[in-house]
Amino acid sequence: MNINFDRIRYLVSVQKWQKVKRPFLAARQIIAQVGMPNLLFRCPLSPNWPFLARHYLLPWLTHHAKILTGKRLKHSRVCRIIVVFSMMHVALIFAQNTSSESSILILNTDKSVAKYSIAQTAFERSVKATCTTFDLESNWVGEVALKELIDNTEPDLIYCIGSRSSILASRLENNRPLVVSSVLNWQRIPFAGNVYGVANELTPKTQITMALYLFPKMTKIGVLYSKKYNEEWIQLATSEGRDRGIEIVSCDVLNSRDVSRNLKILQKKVDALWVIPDPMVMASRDQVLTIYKNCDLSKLPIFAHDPVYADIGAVTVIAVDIPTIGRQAAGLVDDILQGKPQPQRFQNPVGTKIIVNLKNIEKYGLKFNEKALGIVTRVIK
Amino acid sequence: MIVCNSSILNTFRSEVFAVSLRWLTLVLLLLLVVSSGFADDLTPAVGTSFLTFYSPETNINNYGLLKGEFDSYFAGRGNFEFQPFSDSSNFDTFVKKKMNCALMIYSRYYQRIGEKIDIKSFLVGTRGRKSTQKLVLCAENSIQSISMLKGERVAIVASREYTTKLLIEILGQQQISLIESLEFLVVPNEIDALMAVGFGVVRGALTSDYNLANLAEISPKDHKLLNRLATSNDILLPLIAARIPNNANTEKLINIIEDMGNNLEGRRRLNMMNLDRFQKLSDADMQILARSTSRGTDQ
Repeated sequence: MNINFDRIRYLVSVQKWQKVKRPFLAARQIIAQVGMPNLLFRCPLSPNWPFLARHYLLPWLTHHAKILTGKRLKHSRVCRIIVVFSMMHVALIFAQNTSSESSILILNTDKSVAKYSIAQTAFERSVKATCTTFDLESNWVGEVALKELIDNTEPDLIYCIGSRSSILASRLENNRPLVVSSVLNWQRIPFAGNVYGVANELTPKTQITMALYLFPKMTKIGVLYSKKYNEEWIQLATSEGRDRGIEIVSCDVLNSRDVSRNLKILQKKVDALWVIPDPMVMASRDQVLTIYKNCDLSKLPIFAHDPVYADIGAVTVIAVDIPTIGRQAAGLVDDILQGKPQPQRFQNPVGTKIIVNLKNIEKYGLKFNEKALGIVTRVIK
Repeated sequence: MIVCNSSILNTFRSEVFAVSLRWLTLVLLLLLVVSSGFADDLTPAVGTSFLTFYSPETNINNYGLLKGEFDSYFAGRGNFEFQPFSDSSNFDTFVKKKMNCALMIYSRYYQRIGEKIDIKSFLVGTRGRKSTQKLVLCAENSIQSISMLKGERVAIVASREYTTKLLIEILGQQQISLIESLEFLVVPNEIDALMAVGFGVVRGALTSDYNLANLAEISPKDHKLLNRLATSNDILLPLIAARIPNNANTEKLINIIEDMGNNLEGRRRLNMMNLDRFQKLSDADMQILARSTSRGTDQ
């Protein structure tokens, strides 16, 4: 730790406290000759400063002053030196505050939910700032109490995990920057300009790239979707697929009956079905199970987006890696606090978690790139 | 009176019995506690040879998968167990304690562990018929030189500490301030790291030349966005080493590992570690190993 004497001298000159000058020089001389007491180095911000001064610094200074000057310093002079040391201490605090870590308030929607908890842990391990955490679910609070919490904590930035905390915080806080993650389909929420984040869904580009890496021979992938919810997404997927030599055959569904009918049409045309989180397609549990059952009967492999579908027959799950989301959010927070410009308000998640069902791959007779097993997190046999 | 005496006797007997029972329980408990101290040595079947694995070079997030898969492969082939480690100190302690184990480690770690115990390398992993790989530091096209990467975020798959050491080796000591200025984003695999550059989340990525070539095949557009800034020397893929003198069971384990690349089930397990097979070290491999150990990079 370096002591900024210029800063202290500046403080002294500004306050025109001439009496301090001489003892200040004495203190500086002592420090130069014998070094600062270890205790000062170890706990410069100790709240027990008066105690340390009385019981540690006073005898220390008196002792060393006597060694250096050969004279016993007057008590009043020693006291003045202590005042100077106190000023140094204040200056140290001041200097540390200016370069100190920023503080962050983490608002977790529900820490008992595994994905939120994992994101928080990864975030806390990576972020440089000091974190205060608050779990909305276990401390059931209303808007007023939350506003009070934010005002009392005075964080430099708020990191929200999950939709509920993100929506609530964005409603209450318009000035401080907010970073959000684990928010389903963030585009549907009218976030203000102070909100940044990491999206919760992998882009079509990532999913197609990974699917192609695992199954290089696939050329046609079918998608059931509703125009109402996923028109833009399907356009993006079609364009990304075209770039990689994959044809995305999409079928628009208007209601539940359409799902079965269009599935039958798609089954004849495509090498695999990509089941996306579309509210119309995945309207009910039964409907989802029917899709999986029909595809299994016709040996049509399914690519899914969530690990939960691995156990009901999806051949491959290409899901988002939650710890990476936490680490990305930490990086975003550090950048914002350092004042780095953000080219995009929401980052795409870049970590993937891949599950492969080798049992179904063999059952359907699919050509699978065995060398891609290196990126697989879980194998079902 | 007799009844009374016998009842006293019975009470006395039952008390003696209760006391002895208590003592017996205590002795049994003590035995249990004492024996649990040796549990580590006793739990595996006698004569079990371990294939221990530690890799600071990769962000392994599938230890459970690897353990299950390798154990099931070894199950029908003898008394062997796969033991992966995420922490170097636990790995070191385990390896020091067990004589009957083979080690799956990268060449950099081979030197470090070799300073503590006597080990010998037997096999080296191969991928695409090559036993070496190069690490490549690449960045988005707008970054034309290393100096332009200062203070930027780079996607990596290894630990931060390990990556820093690796970058010092690739870029040289003169770039140490630049390396220290870098921010890192740890991602699950190298394809993710390379694609993160395309998404603008990071400005650079440190990956193997093998996965850079893979990206060129599966996403040529993303590959075109990348610019190679620096490349490492040849680095050996994981080695299979064993403590010397090794016992017959460990030798058998090494033979089984060597044979893994010859059957589908074995090859699949190796593919999970981004390898095709293990083979004996050639003279060229030995030279690379000697070079990397003489450089003295640890961990």
